Amino acid sequence: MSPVVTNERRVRGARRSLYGARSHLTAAFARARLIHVSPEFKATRWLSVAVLILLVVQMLTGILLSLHYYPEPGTAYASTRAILGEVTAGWLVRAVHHWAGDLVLAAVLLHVVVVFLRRGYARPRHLQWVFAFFLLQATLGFRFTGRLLPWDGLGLDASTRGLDLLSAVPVLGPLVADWLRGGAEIGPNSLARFYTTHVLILPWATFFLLAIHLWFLRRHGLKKGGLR
Amino acid sequence: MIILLRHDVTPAEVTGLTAQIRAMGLETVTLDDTKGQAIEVLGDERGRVLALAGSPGVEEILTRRLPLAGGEPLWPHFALRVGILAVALVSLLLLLAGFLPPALGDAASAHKDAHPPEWYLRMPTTVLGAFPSSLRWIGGTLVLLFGLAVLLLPFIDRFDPETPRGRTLSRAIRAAGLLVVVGSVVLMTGVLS
Repeated sequence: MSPVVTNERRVRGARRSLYGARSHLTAAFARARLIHVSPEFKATRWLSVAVLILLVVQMLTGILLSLHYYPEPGTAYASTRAILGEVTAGWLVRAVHHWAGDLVLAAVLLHVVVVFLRRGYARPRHLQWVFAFFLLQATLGFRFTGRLLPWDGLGLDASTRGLDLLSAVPVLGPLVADWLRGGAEIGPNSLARFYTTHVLILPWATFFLLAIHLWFLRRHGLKKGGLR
Repeated sequence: MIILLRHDVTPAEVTGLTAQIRAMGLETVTLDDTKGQAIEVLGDERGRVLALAGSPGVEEILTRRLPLAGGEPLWPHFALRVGILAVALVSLLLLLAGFLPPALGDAASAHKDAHPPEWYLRMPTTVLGAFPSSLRWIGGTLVLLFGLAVLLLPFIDRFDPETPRGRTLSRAIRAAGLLVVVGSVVLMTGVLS
């Protein structure tokens, strides 16, 4: 009696033989050979890949830092000092996280400028531009909320300045600033809200915004031509 | 779209499929690097091409929209470039981290350290600082209007670039934007402060 072969197994087997591959993994690579990148993908388009790579670095180093960081006013500074002095390569991970934050923001800004000069915001890519704008705000938010987390004088000064700035922007500015501050002045509530925004709200927002942005990219493709 | 053919597809089946696709008014391209095992159908005719699923010789239909002609394969060419870029970026990060590690100030409870604004906040800080505190709202409104102009840019610049007037107006908008970009970069570098 012959063994029962499901339709799924027959399809997989056919796909393997199609590519002359011995395993599903080599079949997957063979399939990837058929998928070509757009011929328009060159020069400044690599900025977007750099942004994705830097975001992955941010995520990985952020997870490592969160293993040793305690987001409470009494322990935040001490745990940051411990990351710098006691945790193996902790200073390096924090420094890489810091510089990757700067580079990702710079790369996103540059990417936006290039798309602007190419007029890549014109229809049908207008919604892609709108989501990219919010992605830029999220990247700024990452950099800004991360600055307070070490709970040192430098971070406190930078956050106070940033919140003052935000308060001066009409309508949404005071609302967001008051929510982040969580009181009359920067204090324990602020640290908790900055931390939650930095590790929970912004990562998820970035994930969804990026997914929608890439979905639009796949739908409309890259704009042809250079600067016009 | 790409039609992957079965490994045992016959030349007659390939000819029949190609004729069927051409009868739909679509163009086909044979892919050299697949040893005659795939046909690319040009154009966005997903519905009609999917109807070929199950035809003799057809293994699978890839419905992805990225073009094939001219670009390089995702694997290994593009993937290798991405890998090289990743290694270069991580090396740059390690160099920056090693030679310029970020400072840690005194504990926040002690005092605020006076420090120039972060580079990405220098542009709005300069705009707000240009107004006395009683008129600070004007600076805030300018920052808000700038943000709204960037967000709504596709709905502002709806000029037709094929007409001379549309091209001129669109270029004028981008020239103005470029001035703002140059000004922002100068402010970010802090050379004026």
